[in-house]
Amino acid sequence: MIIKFKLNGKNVAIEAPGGERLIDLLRERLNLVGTKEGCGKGECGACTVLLDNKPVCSCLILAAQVNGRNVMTIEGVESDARLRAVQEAFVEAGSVQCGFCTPGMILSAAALLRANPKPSRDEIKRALSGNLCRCTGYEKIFDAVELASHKIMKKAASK
Amino acid sequence: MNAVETLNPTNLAQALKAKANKNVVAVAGGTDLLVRLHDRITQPWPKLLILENVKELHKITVTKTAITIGPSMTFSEIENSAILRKKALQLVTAAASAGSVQIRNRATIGGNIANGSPAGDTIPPLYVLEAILELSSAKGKRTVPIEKFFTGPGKTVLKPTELITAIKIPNRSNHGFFMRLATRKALAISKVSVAVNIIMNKSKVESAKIALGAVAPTVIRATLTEEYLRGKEINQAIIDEAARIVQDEARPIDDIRSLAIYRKEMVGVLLKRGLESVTTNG
Amino acid sequence: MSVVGKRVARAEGSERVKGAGLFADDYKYFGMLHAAVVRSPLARGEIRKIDFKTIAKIPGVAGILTYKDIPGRNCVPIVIDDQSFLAERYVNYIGEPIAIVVAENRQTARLAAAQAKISIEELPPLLNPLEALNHPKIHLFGNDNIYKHIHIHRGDVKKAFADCDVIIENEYHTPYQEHAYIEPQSMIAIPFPDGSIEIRGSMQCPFYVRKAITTILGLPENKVRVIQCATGGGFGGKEDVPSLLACQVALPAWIFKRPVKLIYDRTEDMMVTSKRHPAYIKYKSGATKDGILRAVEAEYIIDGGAYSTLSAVVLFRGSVHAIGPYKCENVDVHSYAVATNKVPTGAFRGFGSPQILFAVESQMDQLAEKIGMDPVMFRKKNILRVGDTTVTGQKLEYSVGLEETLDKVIEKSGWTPGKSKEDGVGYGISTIYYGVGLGAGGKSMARTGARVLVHADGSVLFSVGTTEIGQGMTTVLSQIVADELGAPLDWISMMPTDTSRVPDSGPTVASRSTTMSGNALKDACIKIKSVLLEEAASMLDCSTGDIIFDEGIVTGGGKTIKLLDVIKSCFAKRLPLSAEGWYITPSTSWDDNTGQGDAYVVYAWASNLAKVKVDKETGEVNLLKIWAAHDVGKAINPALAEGQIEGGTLQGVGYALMEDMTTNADGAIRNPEFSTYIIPTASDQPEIVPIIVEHPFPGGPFGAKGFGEQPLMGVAPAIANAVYDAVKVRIKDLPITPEKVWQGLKNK
Repeated sequence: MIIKFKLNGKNVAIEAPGGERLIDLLRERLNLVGTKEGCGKGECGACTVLLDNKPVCSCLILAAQVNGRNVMTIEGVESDARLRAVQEAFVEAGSVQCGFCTPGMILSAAALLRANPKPSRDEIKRALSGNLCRCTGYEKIFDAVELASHKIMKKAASK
Repeated sequence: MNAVETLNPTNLAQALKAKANKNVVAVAGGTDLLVRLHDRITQPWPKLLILENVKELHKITVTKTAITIGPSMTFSEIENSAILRKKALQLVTAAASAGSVQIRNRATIGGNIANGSPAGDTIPPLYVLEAILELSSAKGKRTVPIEKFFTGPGKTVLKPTELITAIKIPNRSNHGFFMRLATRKALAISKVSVAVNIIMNKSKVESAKIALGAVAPTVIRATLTEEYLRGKEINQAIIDEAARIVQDEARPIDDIRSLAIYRKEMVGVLLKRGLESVTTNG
Repeated sequence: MSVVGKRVARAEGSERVKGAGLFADDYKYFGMLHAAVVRSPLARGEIRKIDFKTIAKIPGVAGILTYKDIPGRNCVPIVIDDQSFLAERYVNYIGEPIAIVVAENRQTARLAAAQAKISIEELPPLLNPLEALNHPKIHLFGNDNIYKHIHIHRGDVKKAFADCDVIIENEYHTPYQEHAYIEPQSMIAIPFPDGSIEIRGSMQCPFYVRKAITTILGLPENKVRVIQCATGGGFGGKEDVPSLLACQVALPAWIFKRPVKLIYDRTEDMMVTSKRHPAYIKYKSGATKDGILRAVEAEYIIDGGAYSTLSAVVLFRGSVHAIGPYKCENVDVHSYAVATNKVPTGAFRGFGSPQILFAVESQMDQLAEKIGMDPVMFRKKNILRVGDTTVTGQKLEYSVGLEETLDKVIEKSGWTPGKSKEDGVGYGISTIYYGVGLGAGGKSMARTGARVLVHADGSVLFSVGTTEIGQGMTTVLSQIVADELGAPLDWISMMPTDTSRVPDSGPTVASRSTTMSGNALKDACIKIKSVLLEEAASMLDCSTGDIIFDEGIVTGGGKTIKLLDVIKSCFAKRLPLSAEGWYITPSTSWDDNTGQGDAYVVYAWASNLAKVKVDKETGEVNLLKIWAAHDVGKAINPALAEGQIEGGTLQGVGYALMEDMTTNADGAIRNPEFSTYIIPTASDQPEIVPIIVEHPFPGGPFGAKGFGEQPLMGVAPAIANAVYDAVKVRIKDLPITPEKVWQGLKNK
C-alpha cells in the first residue's frame, strides 16, 4: 500500500507493505538511520520516535498505523529550535557516552518538555523510564533535561 | 519480523466484516502482538486487521448509568481521563503503572483484555469495577461480564470472528485502590497486583470487591475475603484478618519474576496497605 | 592554558545527538547479503545429520556454509585454541554455531536459519560447575574440566587461624551478569577483488578480530583490515565475541564475493554471547580482637562454560583481588575456572573481581561486627597504604589513595557508623582496588602504538589501536595530544580505530586505554614537538629551553608567535611533522604456583557507601543514595571520569539488586530478553555522588591511571552490608531480591 504521512514536517508518500514495521520503513526505505534498534520488542526505547508528538517505539508500530499521522525522528529535531535545545543540553551536560540510546532518549525528553516545560526530577525519571541506557547511570541525562528546560524557559521569557 | 499483509478498515462495520475471515488477527496498539510476531518463525503469517482508524472504538462515552470505554483507548488516555480519574481511580492507577511512556501511548485497554494475561494490569481493576464487555462480530453482538471472559492464561471466550467493541463500567462513585509489586520501579510486569473497590455504608463495609492479578491462571476475585469484610467496621484487626484470608485465595506459581510463597504473602501485604490507606483517607 | 583536567565536551557528542549514521547497522553496501547463524539446540551432543534442502529453497536464500567451507583453520583463537568457528562433530552448548545462512535480507536469513534441520544425538551435559570439577567420566576440557587453577599462598594459614580471636566462614554465590549494551553485536565484511577483506563493526579489540580472520581464511595480516564502527557499549561484551561475528560474516563474504552484514537479534545476543562468570565462593577469614586481619582461606570457582575463551585471565584477575585491598600475611586461595556445557563466559567490567569482592567485603563487615568494631575502623586498620605489600608480595611504591577515598565518602555522607537512624534504614561500606591494565596475566600484549600527523593547516590527526566504546577515550586522548603539542583542542581529531594505521596494540580492556594509548601518543608528540621547538627557536631567536607552547601560542625570548606559523614554516622547510609512538608497560612478574609477583604496575582504589531503606514487609530494598570515591591518579577530564563512576555504579546496582540471569534445566539461558533480564531504568536510579581522588601515577600520562571498570566492582557488597545494617539480614547470594530479603526476615 502507499503510506502517506507527515515525516519531520514534510509530507511523505511511500510504497510499503502495511505490515512493515515503522523502524524498517524509516531505516531501510527512507535511509533515516538515526532511529536505532536495540531489542525489537519495545523494551529498550532506542527506536523511540514521536507519533503525533508522543513518544512511541517504532519497532512496535506498523506502517499502516502511521498512515495519515505525524511522525518525528531524531533527524527532524534539528529543524525545531525548541527541541534543538535538548540536543545541545545533552552535549553540554555530558549525557552521551556510547550514544546508541541517545536519539530515543532525546525524543522522549523533548516530548516531556513539550508537555511539561519545568519537570521535577521524579517526572523526568518517569518520562525516561522507557529508554534504557547502560553507560551513563542516567545522572547526566537528567542534568541535561533540566538544563534544556532552563534554556527553553529562558528563551521563552526573553521573547 | 516479516512484513505481513494488513487490512485497513476505517469504520466498525468494515472491521467486523474483515474479522469474519479466517487467519485475521486484530491489532490495536500492537505492543504485545508485534512482540509475538517478532519471534514467529513458522508460516503462514496471519493478516493483520489494523483498528487504528476505526473511530467508533476509540472514545469514552458517559451516560447516567454507565461509562463506556472504547477498546482502542490507550493506557495514556485512560491515565489522563478526568472522568475515569473520578469514577475509576483503580483503573487509572493501573494504566499509569504499566510499561513505559512509549508503551502506554500505544497499548490499549482492549488489547490488554484480549491478550488474557493474568498479569495484565488493567484487568483486576475491571473485575472490581464489574466491567461488562461487548463482543461483536459481523453477525451481531453479545455481552460478557469480564470475569466470565477469561478461561486460562492467554485464553478467552472471544471467538475468532469477534472483536471487543466496548467496555462498560457502572457510572457511580467508586472507592478503592490498585497496588502492585514488580521486578523494578518502571517498565516491569507485575509480580502480584491487588485491586479493590469498596462501598461503605456509614462506617461499615457494604460491599468490597477484591481482585488479584498474577497469582492464578487468570485474574481472580477473592470472594472469601470480600465475604469476610461485608458488614464489618474497618479497623486494624479486621484489616489484618482480611490480609490473612486473602493469602489463601491466591494460587500463585514460581516463575521468572517471583516465587509462589512470596506472592501469596504479598497479596496480603498489598491488601492491608490498600485498606489502611482507604480508611485513613476516609 | 592546559586542557588536561578540564571538563571539555565529548568529541563525538554533537554527532551522536543527531543520530548521525555511524553504527555498523547504519551502513549499507551495494550487493550486500545478510547472515544468520544456525545454532545447536542442545547443550551437548554429536551431530548426526544436517539437512539444508528445505531452507536452501526459501526464496532469497543465497547460500548455507558449514565448517567444510572454511579455507583456513576452523578455530576462533582467543587464549587457548579450543573453540571451533563452526561445529564439526560435537556441540557443547545451546547456541553453538553450526552453519551460516546468507540471504538477500535479514528477515529471510533469520527465518531460514531458525528452520534448519539438524539431527543431533544427545549426550549427557555437565551444567553445574561444582559437578564438572574433576568429573570422573565426562571430560569437556583436559581430564578434570579445569581451564585454569591458580594458587595464592603466603605465610601459614593454619597457624594464623589458631591465633585469631574471631573467624567468619561462609559460602557465597553470584550469578551471570549480562552486559546489556544497547547496541546488539553487529558486523560487516567487505571483500575486495585484490584478495583482501575489510571488516567493519562494533568491537573493542580490532586486533583480536584481525587474528580471527587471518586464521579462518588463511590470509596474511596485510590482507585483512579491521575498522571499528561507532560501538554502542561494550563493558567487556565486545572483547572476544566480535571475533566470532567477524568470522560469521567474513566466511560468506569471502565465498560469495559480496559484502555481508550480521546483526544479532537481542534474544540471540543474550542467549549466546559471553557474560560475567557465575561464581561459587567458600571464604574463611579471621582477625584478632584488636582488628587485624590475620588469615584468609578461600576457594573460588567460576563457571567458564563450554570453551575457555578468556576464563584463565579472568581467573587471574579475580585471584589477585581475592583478599581485597588489605594487608594480610597468611593467605591460601585456590581458584578454578571450570568447563560446563553452557554459553562461554568471559570479560565483563571488573573481570573476575566483582564476584570475589562481594565475598571479601561481606566478610570484612562480619568480622568487624564480631569483634565489636565499626566497619570503617576495621578497614582503616587493614587497608593498603604506600609502602605496604599486597597479597602477591608486591610492594606499593606510589599512587595509593584508598584511605582518602574512604575518608571522602564518610565526610561527604556525614555518616557515623553505629549512630542510630530511622527504622529500616542502613548504611554499608566497601573498600576495593583494581590492578590497572593487563598486568602479568596479559604481559605479552602490554604494548601499544600511536601515530600523530600534523597537517600544514595546523589540524592534527591521530590514530591509536585502542577503541572508543563510550568511555570517552577519544576525548581524553585528544586532550593529551593537545597539551603535549601545545595546540588548541579543536585542532585535534582521532581516526576511527583501524588495524592498518598502527601496529598491533593489544585489546581495549582492563581500563588500559588512557595510560597505554596516552603514553604512546605522548611518545609520538614529543618527537613532533622537538621539530617544532627547533623551528620556533630559530624563529624567536632564543634557545629551545626558553620556549613555551600553549594552546596555539608560542612564547620565548620575550616574543610571541602563532603555533600555526611555526607549523607553516616547518612545512616550507620540508620538516617532518608526523611520528609514530610506542609504549610498553614496565615489567610485571608472576608465579602461577605460589601466586606471588608484581601482578600489576599500578592499582586504582575506591570506596563505596550505600544508604538503603528496606521495606520489612515486602523485602524491597530502596537504594536511597550511593557515594562513590575513586582514586584515578589524575582525571584528564573530570566530567568523563564522573560519567564512568555514575554508569559503572548503576551497573553495580543492577548486579546487586535485580540482574538475575539463570539457565533452565536444559542449559539454555532462561531470560534472554529485556522483559525478563531486568536492568535498572531511570526510575531505579539512586542518587549517585561521584567523588574523584587524585594520587598521581608517575608512569601515567599527566599522572592518570585507568579505572573505568572499578565503579561497578564494590557496589554489591556495599549494598549487601547496608541491607544487613538496616534489617540484620545477610544476603550471600546475588542479586539481593525482595524475595531473598523477605525470606531472611522470616528466618530471623
